Amino acid sequence: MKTSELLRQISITVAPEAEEDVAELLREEFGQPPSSHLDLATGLCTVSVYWGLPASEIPAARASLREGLKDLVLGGLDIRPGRIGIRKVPPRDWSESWKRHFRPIEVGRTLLVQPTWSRRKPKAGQALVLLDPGLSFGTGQHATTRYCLERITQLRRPGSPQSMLDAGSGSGILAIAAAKLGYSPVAAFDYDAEAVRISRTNCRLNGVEGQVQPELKDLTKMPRKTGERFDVVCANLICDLLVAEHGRLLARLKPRGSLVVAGILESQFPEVERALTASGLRKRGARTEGEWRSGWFEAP
Amino acid sequence: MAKKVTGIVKLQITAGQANPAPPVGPALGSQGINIMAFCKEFNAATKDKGGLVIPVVITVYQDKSFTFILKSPPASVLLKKAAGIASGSKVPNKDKVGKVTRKQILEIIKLKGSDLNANSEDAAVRMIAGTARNMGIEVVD
Repeated sequence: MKTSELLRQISITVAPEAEEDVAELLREEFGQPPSSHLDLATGLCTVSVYWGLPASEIPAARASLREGLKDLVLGGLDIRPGRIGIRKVPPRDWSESWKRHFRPIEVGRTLLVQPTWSRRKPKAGQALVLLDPGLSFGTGQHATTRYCLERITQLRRPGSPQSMLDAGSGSGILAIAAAKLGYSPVAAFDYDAEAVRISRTNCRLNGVEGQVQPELKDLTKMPRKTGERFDVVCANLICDLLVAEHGRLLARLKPRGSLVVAGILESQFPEVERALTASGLRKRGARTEGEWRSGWFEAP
Repeated sequence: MAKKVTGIVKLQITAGQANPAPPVGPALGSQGINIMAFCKEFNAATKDKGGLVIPVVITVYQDKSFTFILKSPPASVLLKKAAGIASGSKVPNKDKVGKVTRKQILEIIKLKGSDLNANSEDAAVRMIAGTARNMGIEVVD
Protein backbone atom coordinates (compact mmCIF):
# COMPACT_ATOMS: atom_id res chain seq x y z
CA MET A 1 0.00 0.00 0.00
CA LYS A 2 1.69 3.18 -1.15
CA THR A 3 1.15 6.53 0.52
CA SER A 4 1.20 9.02 -2.35
CA GLU A 5 -0.44 12.06 -0.74
CA LEU A 6 1.49 14.40 1.54
CA LEU A 7 1.78 12.80 4.93
CA ARG A 8 3.34 14.19 8.07
CA GLN A 9 4.37 12.47 11.25
CA ILE A 10 3.30 14.69 14.11
CA SER A 11 5.01 13.45 17.23
CA ILE A 12 5.66 14.36 20.83
CA THR A 13 8.53 12.76 22.71
CA VAL A 14 7.85 12.40 26.39
CA ALA A 15 8.59 10.34 29.49
CA PRO A 16 6.69 7.01 29.38
CA GLU A 17 4.41 8.13 32.25
CA ALA A 18 2.94 10.85 30.02
CA GLU A 19 2.30 8.53 27.06
CA GLU A 20 -1.45 8.01 27.48
CA ASP A 21 -2.29 11.65 28.07
CA VAL A 22 -0.17 12.81 25.14
CA ALA A 23 -1.77 10.14 22.94
CA GLU A 24 -5.19 11.49 23.85
CA LEU A 25 -4.01 15.06 23.14
CA LEU A 26 -2.87 14.07 19.64
CA ARG A 27 -6.03 12.08 19.00
CA GLU A 28 -8.22 15.05 19.96
CA GLU A 29 -6.12 17.49 17.93
CA PHE A 30 -5.98 15.51 14.69
CA GLY A 31 -8.73 12.91 15.00
CA GLN A 32 -6.26 10.16 14.09
CA PRO A 33 -5.34 7.01 16.02
CA PRO A 34 -2.06 7.59 17.84
CA SER A 35 0.81 5.12 17.92
CA SER A 36 3.67 5.11 20.36
CA HIS A 37 7.21 3.78 20.39
CA LEU A 38 9.14 3.29 23.60
CA ASP A 39 12.87 3.31 22.84
CA LEU A 40 14.50 1.21 25.53
CA ALA A 41 17.91 2.72 24.77
CA THR A 42 16.78 6.25 25.64
CA GLY A 43 13.85 5.40 27.91
CA LEU A 44 11.74 7.94 26.02
CA CYS A 45 8.41 7.44 24.36
CA THR A 46 7.52 9.02 21.02
CA VAL A 47 3.78 9.31 20.48
CA SER A 48 2.76 10.02 16.87
CA VAL A 49 -0.15 10.51 14.56
CA TYR A 50 0.13 10.47 10.77
CA TRP A 51 -1.89 13.10 8.98
CA GLY A 52 -1.84 15.15 5.79
CA LEU A 53 -1.20 18.43 7.58
CA PRO A 54 -0.70 21.33 5.10
CA ALA A 55 2.49 23.37 5.63
CA SER A 56 0.42 26.50 6.27
CA GLU A 57 -1.20 24.86 9.30
CA ILE A 58 2.01 23.72 10.96
CA PRO A 59 2.57 26.84 13.13
CA ALA A 60 -1.01 26.73 14.45
CA ALA A 61 -0.74 22.99 15.11
CA ARG A 62 2.51 23.49 17.03
CA ALA A 63 0.99 26.29 19.09
CA SER A 64 -2.06 24.22 19.89
CA LEU A 65 0.05 21.23 20.94
CA ARG A 66 2.22 23.48 23.12
CA GLU A 67 -0.95 24.75 24.84
CA GLY A 68 -2.15 21.18 25.33
CA LEU A 69 1.18 20.16 26.84
CA LYS A 70 1.08 23.20 29.12
CA ASP A 71 -2.32 22.04 30.41
CA LEU A 72 -0.90 18.59 31.12
CA VAL A 73 1.98 20.14 33.07
CA LEU A 74 -0.48 22.29 35.03
CA GLY A 75 -2.35 19.08 35.84
CA GLY A 76 0.82 17.81 37.50
CA LEU A 77 2.18 15.58 34.72
CA ASP A 78 5.92 15.39 34.06
CA ILE A 79 6.07 15.45 30.27
CA ARG A 80 9.82 16.01 29.86
CA PRO A 81 11.30 16.41 27.32
CA GLY A 82 7.94 17.24 25.69
CA ARG A 83 9.57 17.66 22.29
CA ILE A 84 7.18 18.34 19.40
CA GLY A 85 8.26 17.08 15.98
CA ILE A 86 6.51 17.56 12.64
CA ARG A 87 8.18 15.97 9.64
CA LYS A 88 7.29 14.93 6.14
CA VAL A 89 6.90 11.21 5.59
CA PRO A 90 8.06 10.40 2.06
CA PRO A 91 5.65 8.43 -0.13
CA ARG A 92 6.50 4.81 0.43
CA ASP A 93 5.17 1.35 -0.15
CA TRP A 94 4.79 0.43 3.51
CA SER A 95 4.21 -3.24 2.85
CA GLU A 96 7.69 -3.42 1.29
CA SER A 97 9.79 -0.71 2.94
CA TRP A 98 10.69 -2.68 6.08
CA LYS A 99 12.54 -5.22 3.93
CA ARG A 100 15.55 -2.93 3.60
CA HIS A 101 16.46 -3.98 7.16
CA PHE A 102 17.26 -7.51 6.01
CA ARG A 103 20.16 -8.65 3.88
CA PRO A 104 21.23 -12.14 2.83
CA ILE A 105 23.79 -13.69 5.18
CA GLU A 106 26.58 -15.85 3.87
CA VAL A 107 28.00 -18.31 6.40
CA GLY A 108 31.36 -19.48 5.16
CA ARG A 109 31.27 -20.81 1.63
CA THR A 110 28.66 -23.46 2.28
CA LEU A 111 25.56 -21.67 3.57
CA LEU A 112 23.43 -18.76 2.41
CA VAL A 113 20.52 -17.54 4.56
CA GLN A 114 18.25 -15.07 2.85
CA PRO A 115 14.69 -13.74 2.93
CA THR A 116 12.32 -15.10 0.30
CA TRP A 117 12.22 -11.83 -1.64
CA SER A 118 15.98 -11.76 -2.23
CA ARG A 119 17.01 -12.64 -5.79
CA ARG A 120 20.54 -13.60 -4.88
CA LYS A 121 21.54 -16.98 -6.26
CA PRO A 122 23.51 -19.35 -4.02
CA LYS A 123 27.00 -20.19 -5.23
CA ALA A 124 27.81 -23.69 -6.42
CA GLY A 125 27.76 -26.06 -3.45
CA GLN A 126 26.17 -23.47 -1.17
CA ALA A 127 23.13 -24.65 0.81
CA LEU A 128 20.28 -22.14 0.75
CA VAL A 129 18.04 -21.40 3.74
CA LEU A 130 15.01 -19.21 3.10
CA LEU A 131 13.55 -17.42 6.06
CA ASP A 132 11.14 -14.53 6.28
CA PRO A 133 11.53 -12.44 9.40
CA GLY A 134 8.44 -12.20 11.49
CA LEU A 135 7.11 -13.61 14.70
CA SER A 136 9.53 -15.67 16.74
CA PHE A 137 13.25 -15.41 17.09
CA GLY A 138 16.16 -16.35 14.89
CA THR A 139 16.51 -14.78 11.47
CA GLY A 140 20.29 -15.09 11.35
CA GLN A 141 20.59 -11.33 11.84
CA HIS A 142 21.45 -11.77 15.52
CA ALA A 143 25.04 -12.39 16.64
CA THR A 144 24.10 -15.48 18.64
CA THR A 145 22.22 -17.14 15.78
CA ARG A 146 25.07 -16.34 13.40
CA TYR A 147 27.60 -17.96 15.75
CA CYS A 148 25.53 -21.16 15.85
CA LEU A 149 25.20 -21.15 12.05
CA GLU A 150 28.96 -20.80 11.69
CA ARG A 151 29.64 -23.66 14.10
CA ILE A 152 27.22 -26.13 12.50
CA THR A 153 28.77 -25.23 9.14
CA GLN A 154 32.30 -25.66 10.48
CA LEU A 155 31.51 -28.92 12.30
CA ARG A 156 29.92 -30.59 9.29
CA ARG A 157 32.07 -33.34 7.82
CA PRO A 158 30.69 -33.96 4.31
CA GLY A 159 30.16 -37.62 3.59
CA SER A 160 30.00 -38.63 7.27
CA PRO A 161 26.72 -39.26 9.03
CA GLN A 162 26.18 -36.61 11.71
CA SER A 163 23.10 -35.91 13.76
CA MET A 164 22.03 -32.56 15.19
CA LEU A 165 19.68 -31.30 17.93
CA ASP A 166 18.41 -27.72 18.00
CA ALA A 167 17.33 -27.02 21.58
CA GLY A 168 15.12 -23.91 21.73
CA SER A 169 14.64 -23.83 18.00
CA GLY A 170 12.67 -20.53 17.66
CA SER A 171 12.17 -19.93 13.95
CA GLY A 172 13.86 -23.28 13.19
CA ILE A 173 16.73 -21.64 11.33
CA LEU A 174 19.49 -23.80 12.87
CA ALA A 175 17.67 -27.09 12.34
CA ILE A 176 16.79 -26.14 8.77
CA ALA A 177 20.37 -25.11 8.05
CA ALA A 178 21.61 -28.37 9.56
CA ALA A 179 19.28 -30.43 7.37
CA LYS A 180 20.40 -28.48 4.30
CA LEU A 181 24.04 -29.06 5.22
CA GLY A 182 23.44 -32.81 5.34
CA TYR A 183 23.03 -33.53 9.07
CA SER A 184 20.66 -36.43 9.64
CA PRO A 185 18.67 -36.99 11.70
CA VAL A 186 17.90 -33.46 12.82
CA ALA A 187 15.69 -32.88 15.87
CA ALA A 188 14.36 -29.58 17.14
CA PHE A 189 12.17 -28.45 19.99
CA ASP A 190 10.92 -25.28 21.60
CA TYR A 191 8.69 -24.68 24.62
CA ASP A 192 6.76 -21.93 22.79
CA ALA A 193 3.83 -23.25 20.74
CA GLU A 194 3.91 -20.22 18.42
CA ALA A 195 7.60 -20.75 17.70
CA VAL A 196 6.93 -24.42 16.91
CA ARG A 197 4.11 -23.48 14.53
CA ILE A 198 6.29 -20.95 12.71
CA SER A 199 9.32 -23.25 12.58
CA ARG A 200 7.16 -25.95 10.98
CA THR A 201 6.05 -23.41 8.36
CA ASN A 202 9.69 -22.51 7.77
CA CYS A 203 10.57 -26.20 7.36
CA ARG A 204 7.90 -26.47 4.65
CA LEU A 205 9.19 -23.28 3.01
CA ASN A 206 12.62 -24.90 2.76
CA GLY A 207 11.35 -28.32 1.72
CA VAL A 208 12.82 -30.07 4.78
CA GLU A 209 9.54 -30.92 6.52
CA GLY A 210 10.33 -34.60 5.95
CA GLN A 211 13.69 -34.27 7.73
CA VAL A 212 12.88 -31.81 10.53
CA GLN A 213 9.72 -31.87 12.62
CA PRO A 214 10.07 -29.32 15.42
CA GLU A 215 8.32 -30.47 18.58
CA LEU A 216 6.68 -28.66 21.47
CA LYS A 217 8.88 -29.62 24.42
CA ASP A 218 10.15 -27.97 27.58
CA LEU A 219 13.81 -28.70 28.29
CA THR A 220 13.19 -28.49 32.05
CA LYS A 221 10.65 -31.32 31.81
CA MET A 222 12.53 -33.62 29.45
CA PRO A 223 13.90 -36.93 30.82
CA ARG A 224 17.31 -36.67 32.44
CA LYS A 225 18.34 -39.89 30.73
CA THR A 226 17.76 -40.79 27.11
CA GLY A 227 19.15 -43.11 24.48
CA GLU A 228 18.75 -40.48 21.79
CA ARG A 229 22.12 -38.76 21.38
CA PHE A 230 23.44 -36.32 18.82
CA ASP A 231 26.80 -35.38 17.32
CA VAL A 232 26.02 -31.68 17.57
CA VAL A 233 23.68 -29.98 20.03
CA CYS A 234 22.93 -26.28 19.58
CA ALA A 235 21.46 -24.56 22.61
CA ASN A 236 20.75 -20.94 21.84
CA LEU A 237 18.96 -20.38 25.14
CA ILE A 238 19.48 -18.15 28.16
CA CYS A 239 22.18 -18.34 30.80
CA ASP A 240 20.01 -19.52 33.71
CA LEU A 241 18.50 -22.33 31.66
CA LEU A 242 21.88 -23.42 30.30
CA VAL A 243 23.36 -23.58 33.80
CA ALA A 244 20.37 -25.28 35.44
CA GLU A 245 19.65 -27.75 32.64
CA HIS A 246 23.07 -28.46 31.15
CA GLY A 247 22.77 -32.02 32.46
CA ARG A 248 19.74 -32.63 30.27
CA LEU A 249 21.61 -31.22 27.27
CA LEU A 250 24.72 -33.30 27.94
CA ALA A 251 22.55 -36.43 28.23
CA ARG A 252 21.69 -35.87 24.58
CA LEU A 253 25.27 -35.38 23.41
CA LYS A 254 27.33 -38.26 21.97
CA PRO A 255 30.83 -38.92 23.30
CA ARG A 256 33.16 -36.42 21.56
CA GLY A 257 30.06 -34.57 20.42
CA SER A 258 29.93 -30.78 20.18
CA LEU A 259 27.74 -28.52 22.27
CA VAL A 260 27.27 -25.01 20.90
CA VAL A 261 25.92 -22.56 23.46
CA ALA A 262 24.73 -19.07 22.67
CA GLY A 263 22.31 -16.43 23.86
CA ILE A 264 24.59 -15.59 26.79
CA LEU A 265 25.58 -12.13 27.92
CA GLU A 266 29.35 -11.75 28.12
CA SER A 267 29.16 -11.13 31.85
CA GLN A 268 27.27 -14.42 32.35
CA PHE A 269 29.45 -16.61 30.15
CA PRO A 270 31.94 -17.64 32.88
CA GLU A 271 29.05 -19.17 34.85
CA VAL A 272 28.02 -21.30 31.87
CA GLU A 273 31.64 -22.22 31.14
CA ARG A 274 32.19 -23.32 34.75
CA ALA A 275 29.11 -25.52 34.68
CA LEU A 276 30.11 -27.19 31.42
CA THR A 277 33.79 -27.71 32.18
CA ALA A 278 32.89 -29.07 35.63
CA SER A 279 30.84 -31.70 33.78
CA GLY A 280 33.91 -32.74 31.80
CA LEU A 281 33.43 -30.72 28.63
CA ARG A 282 36.37 -28.97 27.02
CA LYS A 283 36.06 -25.49 25.61
CA ARG A 284 37.05 -25.48 21.96
CA GLY A 285 36.23 -21.89 21.15
CA ALA A 286 34.28 -18.79 22.13
CA ARG A 287 33.53 -15.43 20.62
CA THR A 288 32.20 -12.12 21.85
CA GLU A 289 30.08 -9.99 19.58
CA GLY A 290 28.57 -6.87 21.06
CA GLU A 291 27.29 -7.81 24.50
CA TRP A 292 26.91 -11.49 23.61
CA ARG A 293 29.40 -14.32 24.08
CA SER A 294 28.90 -17.73 22.52
CA GLY A 295 30.95 -20.88 22.87
CA TRP A 296 31.68 -24.33 21.51
CA PHE A 297 32.42 -27.22 23.89
CA GLU A 298 33.36 -30.83 23.24
CA ALA A 299 32.18 -33.82 25.25
CA PRO A 300 34.77 -36.29 26.61
CA MET B 1 17.19 -17.99 23.10
CA ALA B 2 17.98 -14.73 24.81
CA LYS B 3 15.71 -12.07 23.45
CA LYS B 4 16.98 -8.54 23.65
CA VAL B 5 14.09 -6.14 23.48
CA THR B 6 14.91 -2.87 21.72
CA GLY B 7 11.52 -1.21 21.79
CA ILE B 8 7.82 -1.40 22.46
CA VAL B 9 5.30 -0.16 19.90
CA LYS B 10 1.68 0.46 20.86
CA LEU B 11 -1.09 0.81 18.30
CA GLN B 12 -4.85 0.84 18.29
CA ILE B 13 -6.23 -1.02 15.29
CA THR B 14 -9.72 -2.05 14.28
CA ALA B 15 -10.13 -5.80 14.78
CA GLY B 16 -9.51 -7.78 11.61
CA GLN B 17 -8.57 -4.67 9.62
CA ALA B 18 -4.83 -4.17 10.09
CA ASN B 19 -3.15 -3.05 6.87
CA PRO B 20 0.12 -1.35 5.93
CA ALA B 21 -1.46 2.13 5.72
CA PRO B 22 -0.56 4.66 8.45
CA PRO B 23 -0.28 4.36 11.36
CA VAL B 24 0.64 0.65 11.13
CA GLY B 25 3.04 0.95 8.17
CA PRO B 26 5.21 3.84 9.34
CA ALA B 27 5.10 2.84 13.02
CA LEU B 28 6.26 -0.74 12.35
CA GLY B 29 8.24 -0.17 9.14
CA SER B 30 10.60 2.23 10.92
CA GLN B 31 11.40 -0.58 13.38
CA GLY B 32 12.10 -3.09 10.60
CA ILE B 33 9.13 -5.27 11.48
CA ASN B 34 7.59 -7.50 8.82
CA ILE B 35 4.41 -5.47 8.39
CA MET B 36 2.49 -8.02 6.34
CA ALA B 37 3.30 -10.79 8.82
CA PHE B 38 2.05 -8.59 11.66
CA CYS B 39 -1.15 -7.65 9.82
CA LYS B 40 -1.88 -11.28 9.00
CA GLU B 41 -1.32 -12.43 12.58
CA PHE B 42 -3.26 -9.51 14.10
CA ASN B 43 -6.21 -9.99 11.75
CA ALA B 44 -6.31 -13.72 12.47
CA ALA B 45 -6.18 -13.10 16.23
CA THR B 46 -8.96 -10.49 16.18
CA LYS B 47 -11.29 -11.81 13.49
CA ASP B 48 -14.01 -12.62 16.04
CA LYS B 49 -13.88 -9.26 17.83
CA GLY B 50 -16.53 -7.58 15.71
CA GLY B 51 -14.75 -4.50 14.36
CA LEU B 52 -13.83 -3.10 17.79
CA VAL B 53 -10.69 -0.99 18.16
CA ILE B 54 -8.12 -3.21 19.82
CA PRO B 55 -4.99 -1.85 21.49
CA VAL B 56 -1.98 -3.99 20.65
CA VAL B 57 1.44 -3.94 22.31
CA ILE B 58 4.26 -5.10 20.03
CA THR B 59 7.63 -6.06 21.49
CA VAL B 60 10.48 -5.53 19.03
CA TYR B 61 13.66 -7.57 19.44
CA GLN B 62 17.20 -6.77 18.40
CA ASP B 63 17.00 -9.01 15.32
CA LYS B 64 13.75 -7.28 14.23
CA SER B 65 11.57 -10.22 15.16
CA PHE B 66 8.53 -9.37 17.26
CA THR B 67 5.79 -10.65 19.48
CA PHE B 68 2.53 -8.96 20.33
CA ILE B 69 -0.24 -9.06 22.89
CA LEU B 70 -3.76 -7.80 22.48
CA LYS B 71 -5.36 -5.61 25.09
CA SER B 72 -9.05 -5.04 25.65
CA PRO B 73 -10.66 -2.18 23.70
CA PRO B 74 -10.33 1.28 25.32
CA ALA B 75 -13.13 2.15 27.77
CA SER B 76 -14.09 5.12 25.58
CA VAL B 77 -14.69 2.83 22.59
CA LEU B 78 -16.78 0.41 24.65
CA LEU B 79 -18.78 3.26 26.17
CA LYS B 80 -19.54 4.74 22.74
CA LYS B 81 -20.69 1.32 21.57
CA ALA B 82 -22.84 0.83 24.67
CA ALA B 83 -24.40 4.31 24.34
CA GLY B 84 -24.89 3.90 20.60
CA ILE B 85 -23.03 7.10 19.72
CA ALA B 86 -20.27 7.83 17.22
CA SER B 87 -18.31 10.32 19.32
CA GLY B 88 -18.22 11.89 22.73
CA SER B 89 -19.28 15.43 23.66
CA LYS B 90 -16.88 18.31 23.03
CA VAL B 91 -18.37 20.06 26.09
CA PRO B 92 -19.06 17.12 28.42
CA ASN B 93 -20.11 19.33 31.36
CA LYS B 94 -22.91 20.92 29.37
CA ASP B 95 -23.81 18.75 26.40
CA LYS B 96 -24.76 15.18 27.19
CA VAL B 97 -24.67 12.96 24.13
CA GLY B 98 -25.80 9.58 25.46
CA LYS B 99 -26.58 7.30 28.39
CA VAL B 100 -25.26 4.01 29.74
CA THR B 101 -26.66 1.90 32.54
CA ARG B 102 -24.74 0.54 35.53
CA LYS B 103 -25.33 -2.92 34.08
CA GLN B 104 -23.60 -1.89 30.86
CA ILE B 105 -20.69 -0.52 32.87
CA LEU B 106 -20.37 -3.85 34.66
CA GLU B 107 -20.29 -5.59 31.28
CA ILE B 108 -17.48 -3.25 30.18
CA ILE B 109 -15.57 -4.04 33.36
CA LYS B 110 -15.97 -7.75 32.71
CA LEU B 111 -14.70 -7.32 29.15
CA LYS B 112 -11.68 -5.27 30.20
CA GLY B 113 -10.78 -7.76 32.93
CA SER B 114 -7.21 -7.47 34.16
CA ASP B 115 -6.43 -4.58 31.78
CA LEU B 116 -8.37 -2.37 34.19
CA ASN B 117 -6.15 -1.01 36.92
CA ALA B 118 -8.66 -1.17 39.79
CA ASN B 119 -8.56 -2.95 43.14
CA SER B 120 -12.28 -3.60 43.46
CA GLU B 121 -15.45 -3.69 41.40
CA ASP B 122 -16.60 -0.39 42.97
CA ALA B 123 -13.32 1.28 42.03
CA ALA B 124 -13.64 -0.09 38.50
CA VAL B 125 -17.21 1.25 38.24
CA ARG B 126 -16.05 4.67 39.43
CA MET B 127 -13.23 4.62 36.87
CA ILE B 128 -15.47 3.74 33.90
CA ALA B 129 -18.22 6.13 35.08
CA GLY B 130 -15.58 8.89 35.25
CA THR B 131 -14.53 8.19 31.67
CA ALA B 132 -18.22 8.25 30.66
CA ARG B 133 -18.75 11.64 32.33
CA ASN B 134 -15.66 13.05 30.59
CA MET B 135 -17.24 12.00 27.29
CA GLY B 136 -20.61 13.54 28.06
CA ILE B 137 -22.28 10.18 28.65
CA GLU B 138 -24.70 9.98 31.59
CA VAL B 139 -24.66 6.95 33.87
CA VAL B 140 -28.16 5.81 34.88
CA ASP B 141 -29.37 2.90 37.05
